[in-house]
Amino acid sequence: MVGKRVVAMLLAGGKGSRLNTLTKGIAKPAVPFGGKYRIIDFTLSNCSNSGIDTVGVLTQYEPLELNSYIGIGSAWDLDRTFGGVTVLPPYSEEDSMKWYSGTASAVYQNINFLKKYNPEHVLILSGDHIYKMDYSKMLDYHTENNADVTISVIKVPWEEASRFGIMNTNDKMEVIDFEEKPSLPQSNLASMGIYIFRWEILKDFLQIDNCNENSSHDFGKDVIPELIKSKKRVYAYYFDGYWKDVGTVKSLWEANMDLLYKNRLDLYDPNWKIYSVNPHQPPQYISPTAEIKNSLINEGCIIKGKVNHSVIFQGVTIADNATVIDSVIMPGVSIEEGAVIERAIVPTDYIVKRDAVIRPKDENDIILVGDCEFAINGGA
Amino acid sequence: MKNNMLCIIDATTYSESLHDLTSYRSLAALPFLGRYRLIDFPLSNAVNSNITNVAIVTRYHHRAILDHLGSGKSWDLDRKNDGLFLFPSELYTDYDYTHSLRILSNHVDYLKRSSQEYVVLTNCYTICYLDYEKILKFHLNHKQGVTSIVNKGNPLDIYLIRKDLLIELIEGCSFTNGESVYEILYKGNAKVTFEEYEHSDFVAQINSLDSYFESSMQLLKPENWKQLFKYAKPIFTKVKDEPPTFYGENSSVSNSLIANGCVINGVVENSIIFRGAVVEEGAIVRNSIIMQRGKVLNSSVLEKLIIDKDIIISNENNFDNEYPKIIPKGYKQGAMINT
Repeated sequence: MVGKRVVAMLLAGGKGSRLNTLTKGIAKPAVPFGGKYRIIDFTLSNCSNSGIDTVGVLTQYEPLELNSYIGIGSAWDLDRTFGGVTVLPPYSEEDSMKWYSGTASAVYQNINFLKKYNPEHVLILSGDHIYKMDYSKMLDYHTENNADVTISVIKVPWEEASRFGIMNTNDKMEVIDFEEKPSLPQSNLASMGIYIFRWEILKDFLQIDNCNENSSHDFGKDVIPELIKSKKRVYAYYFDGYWKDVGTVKSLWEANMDLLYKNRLDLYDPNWKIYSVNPHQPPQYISPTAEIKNSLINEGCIIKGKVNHSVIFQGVTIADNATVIDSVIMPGVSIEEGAVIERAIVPTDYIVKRDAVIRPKDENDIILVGDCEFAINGGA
Repeated sequence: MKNNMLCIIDATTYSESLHDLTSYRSLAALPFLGRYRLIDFPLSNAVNSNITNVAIVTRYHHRAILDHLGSGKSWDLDRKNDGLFLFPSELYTDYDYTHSLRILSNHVDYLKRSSQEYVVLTNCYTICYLDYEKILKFHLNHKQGVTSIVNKGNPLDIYLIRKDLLIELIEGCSFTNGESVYEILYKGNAKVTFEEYEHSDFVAQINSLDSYFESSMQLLKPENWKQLFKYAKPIFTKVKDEPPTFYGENSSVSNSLIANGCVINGVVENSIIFRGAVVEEGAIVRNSIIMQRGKVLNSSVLEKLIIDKDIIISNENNFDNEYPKIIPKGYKQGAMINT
């Protein structure tokens, strides 16, 4: 059988506990983002736009909504006859039953999926980052260097470098050292959690890692350092675009706000569309009383109040005299008359009562409505 | 429970007064209300009534309608059993007549092969929400040959009829070339007795430039569009994967329906803006319809205009507001957007 050139393995099993109630009953990659998308749409669209037609999606935590959202992958043009999307949950084998304990063990457990396609290279992705990236360019770089593994890196501010996995490279971008969250970073090139492995190398090192009882079975912590130690050809691929980890409520809010600036992440590029499952809602209705500035608004909304610097998902109703500023309003939310919402994320289908005021006490904070105590005045 | 109806949509209609909008596309493919084409409404009614067997009779300018329908996936009609059937014909090129009866008579075998016993016969230009399951119950209760759907007493040219009676009428009658499929019901067959089903909710019939414009403006009123868009019964259309619409710092939008993928930096009042359109800062759009990917440049002032898709309107344009006027596809005043 002729193998695939590259198969992607998308890690989508994380709990995302720092997103608090937003990931209650729903996997982090399925959390709504950007007015009409879910977080995983960006990675799946990147695959589709990069010409990658075979993607394994590894799920574990609360997979119901994520699984039904992915379906057979038609939304991303990934319903292919040979390849396409395959959802890969943990399963029981003849003599053992294992949950995915780390990123590497999750891929190791699905080694038969990779064997079926017998690819030349395997692209390891994570389903909780917001970015647009042409993986085919990274693959070209990987093969031109005849690398065993290529790790995508991004420059982070020096003062934040100790929060990331930092790559120390030589002048040929060969990785000579990898440090997880170093207290004294020697470089500001942070790993984006995107790896391309030669399939033969990945197979061997996953075997080795699986036998190592001291390993936490994580690509960043265990597998990559082992490759460097074994003098394999490990290269860093420098990515010079927008990339954001949306692991916390604050960073999720920031990434939503970044969409209001076309120069940060452009959603309007017809050559790099971000695909998603379509909700089939009518056009948005903007009433004579509405005032909208600097905002993204999706289909099915009825806007009668004021909206400033906010991201409004499908099917949201904002009544007369209601005000929404610097906020993210998720699908199906209803905001009743006179309510005021500032610097908040309002979760799916929430009803903000008449004259309620939602506003953080500290003006640098972001409120996740339904999650913590916040100032709420008036209304029932 | 299996649905016992199939639906035939007559998409052969042509309207001379809409010529500027239908010289590239059939009436059925005419863009409507920001993100739809006319045929989405009868198609969605069928699908929302759990009909899974839909035949569409088309006659001219097939490309737009075929591109729109594809395999029927957007309407969940890409089915193993039944699904979407297309009966195109190019044999009859005179636009004055529909010929849909003649075309359908060539496809009686489709009717015979289908397992359903009742047929919904509908045109492609009536915009309303109909529940055919409810109408079938009505039909069975009244025991007449044909149920004709009317609005305030006016027939909408939408019928429900027993399939074997329809086959008998088609096979038993002589017809000239130009007739529409509905005319077969009015040829004096004794079995064809009518019962009227009154549909009192919002109805628009798009058969002229005026009705196109007026119906669009009528649907800016919430009381009207609420009768068309039911939350549990969405109007399906071809998916375009447009991002949400962006409203800029200086935008001012009032009483308008705006589709996804637009960038609005100017003034929009009482208008309908289709997917992917751009209204630049300083531009004013009033009582107008801007179709897909239209671009209104800085300091253009538009009144009562229908701008076909892919047109750039530059600042030299000022139009009187006597009557709705069409800026047709291919219009060269601004440059065409490269699509």
